[in-house]
Amino acid sequence: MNSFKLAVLSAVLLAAPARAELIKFATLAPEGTDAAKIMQAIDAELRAKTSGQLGFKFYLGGRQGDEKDMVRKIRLGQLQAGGFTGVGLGEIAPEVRVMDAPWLFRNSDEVDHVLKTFDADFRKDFENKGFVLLGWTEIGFIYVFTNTPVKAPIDMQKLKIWMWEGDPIAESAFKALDVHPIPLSITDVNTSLQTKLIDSVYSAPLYAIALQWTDKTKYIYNVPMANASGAVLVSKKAFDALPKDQQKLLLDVGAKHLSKLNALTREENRKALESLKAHGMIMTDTTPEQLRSYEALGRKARRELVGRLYSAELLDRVEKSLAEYRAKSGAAKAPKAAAK
Amino acid sequence: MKRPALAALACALALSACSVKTVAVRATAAVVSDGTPALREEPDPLFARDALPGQLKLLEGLLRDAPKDPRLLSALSEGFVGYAFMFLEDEQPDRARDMYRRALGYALRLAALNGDLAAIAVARPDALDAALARARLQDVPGLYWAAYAWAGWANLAKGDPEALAGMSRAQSVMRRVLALDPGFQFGGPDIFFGIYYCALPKMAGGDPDKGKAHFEAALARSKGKFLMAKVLYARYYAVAALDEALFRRLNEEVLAASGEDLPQARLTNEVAKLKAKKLLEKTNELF
Repeated sequence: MNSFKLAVLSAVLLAAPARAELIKFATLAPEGTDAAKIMQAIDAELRAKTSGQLGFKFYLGGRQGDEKDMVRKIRLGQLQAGGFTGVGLGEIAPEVRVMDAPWLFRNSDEVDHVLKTFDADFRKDFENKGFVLLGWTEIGFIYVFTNTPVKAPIDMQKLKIWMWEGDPIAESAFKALDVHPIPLSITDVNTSLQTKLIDSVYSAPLYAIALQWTDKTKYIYNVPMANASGAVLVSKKAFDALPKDQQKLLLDVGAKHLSKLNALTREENRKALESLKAHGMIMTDTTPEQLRSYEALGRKARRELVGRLYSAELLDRVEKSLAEYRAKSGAAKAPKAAAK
Repeated sequence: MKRPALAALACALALSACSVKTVAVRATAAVVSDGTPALREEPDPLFARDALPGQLKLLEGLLRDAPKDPRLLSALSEGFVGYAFMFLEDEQPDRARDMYRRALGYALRLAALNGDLAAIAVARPDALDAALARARLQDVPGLYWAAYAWAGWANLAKGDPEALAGMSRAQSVMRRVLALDPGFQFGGPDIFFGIYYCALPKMAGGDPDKGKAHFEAALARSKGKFLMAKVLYARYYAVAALDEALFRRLNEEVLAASGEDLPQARLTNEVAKLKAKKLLEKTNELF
């Protein structure tokens, strides 16, 4: 009898949440990047405010595999959170990749406008797929780096341009341009630039430097193809298991720090472009007419992705909201090149 | 009449004073930079940590009067990289970042004493490779410390495009050092590539298997006596490969080894032991 009681008692005690469980967080961003530092700052603040009851355990630099592996491990419960780029977001909630749609945004203010306007939609998209949004962490505007100058869309057809295999955004953009890219894994890009299998790549400026692609290219085309988004997501299952006060704290602290990260990334990309130019990289100019041609190209490319990533309804609403924003903010009638 | 003569005299005096000073500076520079081995052989890391700033400041002072003295430039490059790596990087990364940058300045000046290497910080990749092809054995210290300083700076300033661009330059420079003198600093060039291939993400050219081969090559060069190679092997390869058993084994070997086995690198070996201990304490965070 007594030993039975004891067994029940110890079972109850063992089941009680006596010790804090850490949220296992993975990202491709390596140690020492701003993304890693900001997540560590979130962790420090959470631990301080919960006496160590809530915090993260970090797997940086792709130590848990690529983003598809990370998503799979979160679904299996081996991880509870991740910092994702479009690749991972596409695995989870393809609709939100409307943020990555080709030639959609002209500058970062427009990006912020859409994120704010569609915040509830995007959060619901993530939640339906079992994830909670902690904050957006964009990669930045995506430029084309080439070895011959590109001044007009037609010049792109002469390039041996890389395409990240399975990247629907680039695929639709290249299709609209009538460009035939060479699909390769991102890990093969450096060697393929060296062997001249490809002569052009696309990336946000800071990443192009970090990936050492800018040593192997000479020109930057002044018209970004898209703005690459990213986000920090937490498994809804893990989130729901937290006490209410910790849920709120996690959302608040996360949002506060991650909005700083976005501002930092934008500043770094701006500095990266300046530094590349200072070191002899040539940024090609485009005429206003050529820039305008991207309006039609963009519409065509974005339609390509309807049904594959997002619905026509969502795309229409986003484009309409942007048009209204441009009209209201008195944006220049002709589209402007380069994101500021 | 008198004035020109006076002026000439003043001039002569100034010149001789100047040359006396130059001779003195050169002699002092020789003595002070010859003190570097004493630091390398120091068994007490805390004593070295406290002594280094004074020593480096003195060398910087002497350098003002002998700006092209190779011994001073070499001691300063090595000293600032060593100070940043051994004593700052783990606890004060921002200061370490600035010290690496300072080391880079001296190392580039040292390398530039060979005119062929004067533009290695700005040359485009093709020109950089052409310049490096002309480098000789005597250029190794400048190139070696420049590569380490560049990589150290880039590693601690990942959001800074100027710093990041240095990683690819560092790699080209160290590849040349590896060809010229693979045994420099107890296999330092192989240690560099061990870290390089393990720390970089795969998409940027990272390849832990290649990194492992370089760490093994470095260890073979010092017959396992240069303990820092093991610590870095654990910290970069074992962590990247999620190999906890190897991580523990390497660090425990460092703790069990005698720092006296390699007297010329006593200080680095003692610091390696401190780092191994700290790494073992972090095992649960890392795996």
